[in-house]
Amino acid sequence: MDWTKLAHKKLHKPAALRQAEAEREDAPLANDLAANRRAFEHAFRDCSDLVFRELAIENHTKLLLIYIDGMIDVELITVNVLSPLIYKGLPQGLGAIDNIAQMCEQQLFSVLQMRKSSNLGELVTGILKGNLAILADGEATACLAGVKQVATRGIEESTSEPALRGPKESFTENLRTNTVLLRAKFATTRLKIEEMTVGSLTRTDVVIAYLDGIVDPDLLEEVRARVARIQVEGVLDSGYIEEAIEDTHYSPFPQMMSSERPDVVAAGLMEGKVAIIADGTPFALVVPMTFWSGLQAPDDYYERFLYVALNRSIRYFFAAFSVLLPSFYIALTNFHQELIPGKLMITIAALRERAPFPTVIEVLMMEIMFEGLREAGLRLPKPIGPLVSVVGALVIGEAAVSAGIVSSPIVIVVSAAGIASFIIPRYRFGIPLRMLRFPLLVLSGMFGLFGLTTGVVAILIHLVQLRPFGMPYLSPLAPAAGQWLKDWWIRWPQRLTKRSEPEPENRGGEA
Amino acid sequence: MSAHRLGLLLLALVGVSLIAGCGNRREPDHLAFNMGDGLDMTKDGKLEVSFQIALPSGIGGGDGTWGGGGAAHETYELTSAKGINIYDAIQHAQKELSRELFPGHREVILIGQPLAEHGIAHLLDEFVRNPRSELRSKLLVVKDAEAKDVLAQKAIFEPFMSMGLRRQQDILRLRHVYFHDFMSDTLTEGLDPYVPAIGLTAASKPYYYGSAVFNKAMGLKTVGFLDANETAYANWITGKQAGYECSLPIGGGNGDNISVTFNSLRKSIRTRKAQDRIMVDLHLSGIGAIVENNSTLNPTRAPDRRTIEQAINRKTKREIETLIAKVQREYRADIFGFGEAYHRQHPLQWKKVSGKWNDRFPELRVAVQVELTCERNSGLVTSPIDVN
Repeated sequence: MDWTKLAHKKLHKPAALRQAEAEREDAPLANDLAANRRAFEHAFRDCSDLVFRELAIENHTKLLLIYIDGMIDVELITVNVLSPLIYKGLPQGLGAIDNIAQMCEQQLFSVLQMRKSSNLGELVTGILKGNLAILADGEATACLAGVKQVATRGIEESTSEPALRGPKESFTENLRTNTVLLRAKFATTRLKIEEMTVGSLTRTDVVIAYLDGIVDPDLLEEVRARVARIQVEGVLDSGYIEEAIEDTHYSPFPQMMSSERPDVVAAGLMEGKVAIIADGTPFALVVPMTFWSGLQAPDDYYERFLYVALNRSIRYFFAAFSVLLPSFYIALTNFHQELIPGKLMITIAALRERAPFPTVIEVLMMEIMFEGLREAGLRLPKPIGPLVSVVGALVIGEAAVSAGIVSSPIVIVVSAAGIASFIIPRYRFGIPLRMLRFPLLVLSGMFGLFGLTTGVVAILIHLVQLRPFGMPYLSPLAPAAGQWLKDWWIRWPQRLTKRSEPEPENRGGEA
Repeated sequence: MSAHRLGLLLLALVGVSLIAGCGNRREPDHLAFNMGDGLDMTKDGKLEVSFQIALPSGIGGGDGTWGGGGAAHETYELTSAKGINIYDAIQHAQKELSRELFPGHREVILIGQPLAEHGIAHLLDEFVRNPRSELRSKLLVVKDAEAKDVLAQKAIFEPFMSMGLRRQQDILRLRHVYFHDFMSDTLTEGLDPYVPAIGLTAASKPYYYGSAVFNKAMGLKTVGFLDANETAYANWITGKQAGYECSLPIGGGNGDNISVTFNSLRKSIRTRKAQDRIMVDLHLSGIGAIVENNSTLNPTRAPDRRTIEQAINRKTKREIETLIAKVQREYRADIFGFGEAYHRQHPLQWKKVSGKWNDRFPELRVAVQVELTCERNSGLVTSPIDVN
């Protein structure tokens, strides 16, 4: 509400500023170097990180280098651009150089990427993206040398998706590093990486990666169209893109997978999915996502299939467990006491003798407390983190019970369900499961097993009709897709699963 | 969106109000868990129902902070109430209780002998009709005592007698003695129910006596009892027992004896009609292991083994014939299910006798054939221990 107002205000920038920006878009360079410098100084006014470097070659040709401090490879410029120009002068034997454009064409600078432009707006954008602009006096064309070097993190181990077996590398904030990590996995020209720019302020490079011949063309077209349609000011994380292109905001379930593991993205591409990678974030999006991929871990494909069968069964079981246990407990103890074995029922009744609140309220209290603990542990600086869990365990587990405020089975139920939700390999996929607990709690507190069943059926109906990017969310289970079912619960060994091979004519481009 | 939010808000409000108010939601600490029912007939002919109610705080769970340290707590409360029927009695008992009587965990239903002999045909409905009622309660008849006398006794291991009685039934390897089995037997044509019976020792300790025979034609009343050995035979014939122990003197009169335990008991009942009489061929078999051998016979030798088997078969056959004759003549209740077998094997002829089976049952000619073998040896000892 307040936030939307604020955003709204931002969009209405002073008219003059907008007009100036629009004019600059199409403004050509002038012939006069001083005038050009003034134009750039105007465009970049109050930008202290912009560097102008003027130099004269052989005392007559005046050059102007413009770049953003810290964004370019200084050594590269010194060795490959400045030193040939200043010390060695223009290369001998080449004849007179008429203009700077010619210098570019003749490849006098030993820089890999080089292009020329005479458009002020394009040059400004180029400089902002980490290029070096080279302007010459008396010319209306400038060179843009691609010498970008931004300080970035190294390739580290994935922190949000650890796996015991498999590649350890993870994406970084640098888009190029990320595309390289992906490219390194596919020595084929069929890996396509299309680039787009999103965000009126950040102009973030966003790439759409897919494997030609495997990807569904309709899906690809849909992704392209949706990304092109994005109207935002800035993209600081792929989450902005996710929110802009997801099918519906009103579903607890994520409709695309976000991963910082190149191998997960690569596996998605091989299944015909499309990856969206934005500059400045290590989290790539893979669309479309299915319910089951939220419960599958990368190790599932690296480990022996029997181990995976066990692990997945445990995971699927605990996923259901984490959603249903608290409400199931309430339904049984408050409505259907005859379903609990006699001795256990008496034990539960004995433990409840002192409890001052109804079971539903107890569970709700403890669930909320648990969520609070989880959030606290997540946000706190690392050294304080353990403190929270110790205090939390003491307060919730021990003190609340011995003080008689909650009964001890509740602690067992809530913590077991909480732990179960952490078994889900994709952290964010556990969130919808934890969220859904609350409506189910209320339902089972009102109507017992009947309410619980109604809630579960409602969730299933929602899941069945959810179709992110046209892909049924519960596939391959519903609708059942024969061959792919072999990777639904038990991942059968590759030899036993014959996947449909792509048509041979599409493989022509392979090296 | 605002409509969405409004809807959600309303839903939440409805939810909260329902949680607070709540219709049939009952916390476990608002229930009185009725672990055992005792049905008796008072001297003036009224029905009296006793409820053994578990006291959760006495049985515990947790560290026993409730009620304070160490002292032994009461584990159950016995409440009795009179009424014209079961429901009426429950309503009267409820007046004394601060928690709702909950029969969902009832372990046993005991019937005192006076009531059993009076007939229980009019007492079954509530147990089946009440949706909360546990149909897997075990049904027992108390011989020579009232049901509430049994429930009032302290169990040795369990917190209360109901649980103890149920455990005992399991130990005795008895099968199909749940209330719903009793109902099913009662409602089966050509079959009369019999249920386990317990008695009280001189020290008022309950013990397994055998079983009580009910006669449907006489208003579902107990017409007599079978002792433990007879019950074992009856269970064998009806397939309700998994094992059977047999001890008998063997050889000469010098105190030699042998004990055999039989597992995998089998039976087959063939019925046929010969001239106007219904004949029953009863074939019983089983495989046993010698568990005690205080004789000179060596079961590893074939002739000795045959001697043992013959002695056992002879004794068993004689006793079973006696049992069948007693049930036919004295009780006139077909607890063996011969009628049901006839019904299945000769469905057309059954129609002629179906209404008056209890009159035809005593006239049955039953040919008993027993075929027990001692194929297994138990333990390390195979040959008799020779002290000399």
